[in-house]
Amino acid sequence: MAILRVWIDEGCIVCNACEAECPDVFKVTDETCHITAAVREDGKQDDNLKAKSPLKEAVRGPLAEKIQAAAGSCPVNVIRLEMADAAPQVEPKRVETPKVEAKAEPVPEAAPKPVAAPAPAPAPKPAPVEAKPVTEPEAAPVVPEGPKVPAVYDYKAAPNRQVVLPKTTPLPSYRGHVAEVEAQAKADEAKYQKALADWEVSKVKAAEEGKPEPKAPVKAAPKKEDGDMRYPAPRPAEDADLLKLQAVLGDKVVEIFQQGEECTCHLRPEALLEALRLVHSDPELRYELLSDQTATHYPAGKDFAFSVVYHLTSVSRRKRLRLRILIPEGFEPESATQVYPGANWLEREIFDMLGIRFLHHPDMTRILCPDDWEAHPLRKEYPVVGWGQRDIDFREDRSGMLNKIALQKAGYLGVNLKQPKAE
Amino acid sequence: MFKHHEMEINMGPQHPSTHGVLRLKLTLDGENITSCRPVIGYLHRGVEKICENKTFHQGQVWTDRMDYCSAVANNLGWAEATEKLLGITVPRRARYIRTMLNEYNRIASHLLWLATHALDIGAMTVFLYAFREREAILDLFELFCGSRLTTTALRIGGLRDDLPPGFEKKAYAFIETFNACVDEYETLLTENRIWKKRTVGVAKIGAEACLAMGVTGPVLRAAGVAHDIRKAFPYAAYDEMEFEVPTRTEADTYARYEVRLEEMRQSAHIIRQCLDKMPEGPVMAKIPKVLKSEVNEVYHATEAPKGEIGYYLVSEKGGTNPYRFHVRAPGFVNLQALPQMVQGALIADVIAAIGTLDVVLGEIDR
Repeated sequence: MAILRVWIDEGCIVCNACEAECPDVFKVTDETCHITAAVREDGKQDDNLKAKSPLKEAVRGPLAEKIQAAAGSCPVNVIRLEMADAAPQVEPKRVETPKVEAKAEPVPEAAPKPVAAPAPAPAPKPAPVEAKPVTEPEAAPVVPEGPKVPAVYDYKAAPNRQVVLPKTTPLPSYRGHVAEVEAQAKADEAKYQKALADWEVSKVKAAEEGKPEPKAPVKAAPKKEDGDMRYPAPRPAEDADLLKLQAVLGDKVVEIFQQGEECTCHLRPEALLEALRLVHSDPELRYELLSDQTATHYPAGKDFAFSVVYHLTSVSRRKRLRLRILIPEGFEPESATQVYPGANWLEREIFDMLGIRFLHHPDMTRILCPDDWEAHPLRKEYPVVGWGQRDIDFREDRSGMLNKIALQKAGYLGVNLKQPKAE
Repeated sequence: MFKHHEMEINMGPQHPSTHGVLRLKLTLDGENITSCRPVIGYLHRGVEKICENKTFHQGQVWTDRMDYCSAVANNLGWAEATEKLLGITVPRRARYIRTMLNEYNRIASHLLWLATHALDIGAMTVFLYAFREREAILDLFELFCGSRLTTTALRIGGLRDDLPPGFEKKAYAFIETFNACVDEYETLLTENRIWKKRTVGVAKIGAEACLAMGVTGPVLRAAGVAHDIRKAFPYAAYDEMEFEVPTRTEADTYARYEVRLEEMRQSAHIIRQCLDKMPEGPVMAKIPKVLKSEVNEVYHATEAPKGEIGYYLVSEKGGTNPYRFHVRAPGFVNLQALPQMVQGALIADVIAAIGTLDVVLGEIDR
């Protein structure tokens, strides 16, 4: 990837970030950043905004990565790049056309081709088309013509802004836990059987060679619980409230289970409002307080993208309950404000942070981020390193000042360090 | 649409009595408020996102920076939620020390509230008295962990260190004199005519409305609902402590003042029990250096000075950091009720209402 032109837009804040990344090209002055004369074809030194002079051939390729890194480090994104991506696409074609000729050589009608061959980039398409009727077995790969617009460096695609999306969907459930335990037991058993078979073979082999008998494999013992850490595994629901919810709502309940002290009721999204009304006003349940409502993003989920959880508290009965729904991208669940008015800000926060809209919400606006914020920060694809943030290495010694101080101190302490030469 | 005699004014975000960067859009009819819209987010740092990318131990440090007036209460919530998530049992002595520190922090937080709330309303003297005692508590924190405000005093699995020598003596000395100090504040305020005029019947919100809006903490208790998570869902060592949950039924600013003062006395009572009954033993559970989680999901709520602070954590198999972290900040949910509380009131009452909610924007914006 070579870079054809570099220029500085208006609005440079003279931060020295680009010069630190690529001092060969960028020179920061008092007012703005300059593209140095040494790398430009016109040999001038300024911001290159009007002239847009191309870079010298020799530096286009070798410095491209450094220039891109500098553009990525710019906190105000005024470094503009024009990629020379047209050139590498043309070059292989130039190589291919002679090939076509070489194969077509025995054919006498190849007269017009020497004309087509030197024809450079502007008309690459006609050449293979003309060649086709002559040498039909040659499947010349037709390279589509790229757009002529200059490619501008996409700072959001810079490598240090990329996020690794999670590959798992950690969604606690009793069924999932049972399946996992069974699969683990199966894998352990298969491993043991294989070890047993290997042992039989090696026993026979050892007997033939007169060596002592190898040790028999041992079944993997269950993990010894050491220390004060015990994983609370999910278990089937015994709580009366959960059982009542399942009895009343029927198949609208996907699963009920308990884990540690937590009671979870997993519902179908369309049954949410009915369930909230039930737990709020049923005289046996009486969950008066919606403590918390929040959502989680699961980019690796198969048929869902988010889980929304409701944490309910019964002040009078001193109990807690969690309701959970799973929703796909773009699904709009019913707003809980219809039952618990206090869900207002909590749902606004979910919308702000994860982009889930709620139906029949009185005021679905952002709450923590500014109104014109462009993405939803708590989604997993949102990087922790923010847009336009500078990655400063504080140990980096840009002006050489730290080095000078170190030398001074070393001299003061009587350590024999080489002093810098006077200019 | 405004009526011709209405006007809209901004209170904050740079206003000394909004306790940080809270902005209120007020619509006024003369001196009376017809609508109020809180605008928040000026201090949003993305603590949830940051903690999702830190290990369990590293994330704890960020919880201090949410409600910086009650760092131990925030810390305790995080530590206990993580312990619940991973299934860690904490030694009894550590639970006692945690309880004691948490109650000291509650007193410190309430003292700061009392000082600034009184200052907002116009009682200057209380500020100096309250900060005198708060200083002593911060000295105790400094003795325990070397830090005064953002303490990170607790660790997942217990505490980093046992109590330093000489701590108990100083802790006792504070408790001996503290009740007399609360009486002193009462002589300044309780029967003060101006104080009563500014607080009685101001910023009322009843029990029904509190529960509907999710309001918890002293505001809910001043409305007559004796809901205290320390009693309802005991954590740390609160199941072994004797204390009362003070309530009032007036549901106004004055009632909340009385509730909080009584809570400080109860906190002192709990600290005395902790010191008297302090068990011997280790202060740290036996846990691996690197904490690795299984698939689990936890919502753990504790009673912070401002109300219910809840930590929601989701963990994945073999993960060293939470997959999802969410804080139910008491101030965030309580602030929702502000428009309801100041409807039709005077501008001066808005100051009282903000003070009585005890907002800390670091926790609301996170």
